Amino acid sequence: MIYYLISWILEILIIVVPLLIAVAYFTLAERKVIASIQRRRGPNTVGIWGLLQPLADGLKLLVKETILPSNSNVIIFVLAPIITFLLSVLGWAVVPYGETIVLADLNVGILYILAVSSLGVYGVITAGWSSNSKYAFIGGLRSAAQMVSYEVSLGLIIISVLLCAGSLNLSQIVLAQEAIWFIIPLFPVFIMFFISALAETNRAPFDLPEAEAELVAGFNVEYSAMGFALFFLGEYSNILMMCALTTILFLGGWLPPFAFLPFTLIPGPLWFGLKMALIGFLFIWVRASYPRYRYDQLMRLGWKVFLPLSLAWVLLVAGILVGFDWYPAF
Amino acid sequence: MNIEVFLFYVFSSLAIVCSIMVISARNPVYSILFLVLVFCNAAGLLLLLETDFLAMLLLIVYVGAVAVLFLFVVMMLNVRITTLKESVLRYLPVGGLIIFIFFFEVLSVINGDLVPFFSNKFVFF
Repeated sequence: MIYYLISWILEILIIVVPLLIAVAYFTLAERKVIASIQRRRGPNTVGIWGLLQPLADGLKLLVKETILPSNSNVIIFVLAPIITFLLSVLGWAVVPYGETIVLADLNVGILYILAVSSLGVYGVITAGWSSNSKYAFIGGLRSAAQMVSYEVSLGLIIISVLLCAGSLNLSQIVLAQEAIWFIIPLFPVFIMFFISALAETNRAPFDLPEAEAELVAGFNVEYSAMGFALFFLGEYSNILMMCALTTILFLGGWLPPFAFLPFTLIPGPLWFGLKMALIGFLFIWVRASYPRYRYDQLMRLGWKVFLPLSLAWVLLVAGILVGFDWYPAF
Repeated sequence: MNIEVFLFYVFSSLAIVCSIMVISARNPVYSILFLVLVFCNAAGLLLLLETDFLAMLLLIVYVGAVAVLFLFVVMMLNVRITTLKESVLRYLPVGGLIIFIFFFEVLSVINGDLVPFFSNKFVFF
């Protein structure tokens, strides 16, 4: 019994601790990549090539004074970043890193991830409302409405992939791509998924609700020190979660590109990490390249462009699979 | 007592407490947040029944969409936190009668032997 508990806690720590390190270094990678795109250096003072910069950032946020606004609703104000960070880490329980390397091999894995990202909206809304500040409130509502809108098209695109894969289990979805990765037959769907993931995580060019110049950083304007650090960690963990989901659904998860010898020498989890790094680089690249969408343009894109398109793709994929009798084996 | 019975008692007692807090919280935003907790506990109860699909659907649809809708509306209304002007006991006679009727229905369904002339002859449509 005690052995079971200790092994369980160790499994969780093996996922969470590298995740937090990855999130911290992803912030550094973002700054360095954006700097390279803008032809400058990025942080290179703190360690060699700036590698200790996340530690310096973390230390600064740790020793900063935590401010509780006097008119704010204290319980919810403190709970909001906790909920956000908790949910962003919870989603990683079902991600398969290798053939049998997964913490919880749920048969409804995809629905679990969708549920966790639906719950993530609450962190944003409660943060905006409990700060008792007009900017924070509007930023929170806008951000939440944007997340909810793009979750719809995200869900429909996931249905298109599920029709080809035949199971809600994430390991089964990866194994269904042994023949060919889903990015090749479903390439437009991959593009729509990537853009919806950008909008879902409030990431540029859809970051009007939290841009510094627009709404004074939106819903987290009243948060300092640890609250802000938790929101920051939660947001970047959501970004990495979307990268992982993209690689599982479209890029074949831990599978090597070709099943013969030089490619199979690299272990599965390393392939997973490389593909995630590629998609993460794409996230950062898009941030540095495009101007921001205005809020009404962004909502129009979600409801009037992506929703009909993803619905049409579900119908197309379902029609082809039924018409040619190419049902997936499950 | 094994873990499932223990979890059943935890989830159901939390659901009851949170649903009482829904109707008795002063601030309407607190009411909706407690309602979200009720839905989460109901999802936990569904998980104990091994209907994982239903539990996830409950979370996605009810917590992720319906309660968010309620939260938006309540946050945008400029609701002043009102105190009750009338006492709750005013509703006791009719409310008590309805509670008694519900209680009677539940008992007669659960235990047919308690009310003998219902047990074989009563037909449910």
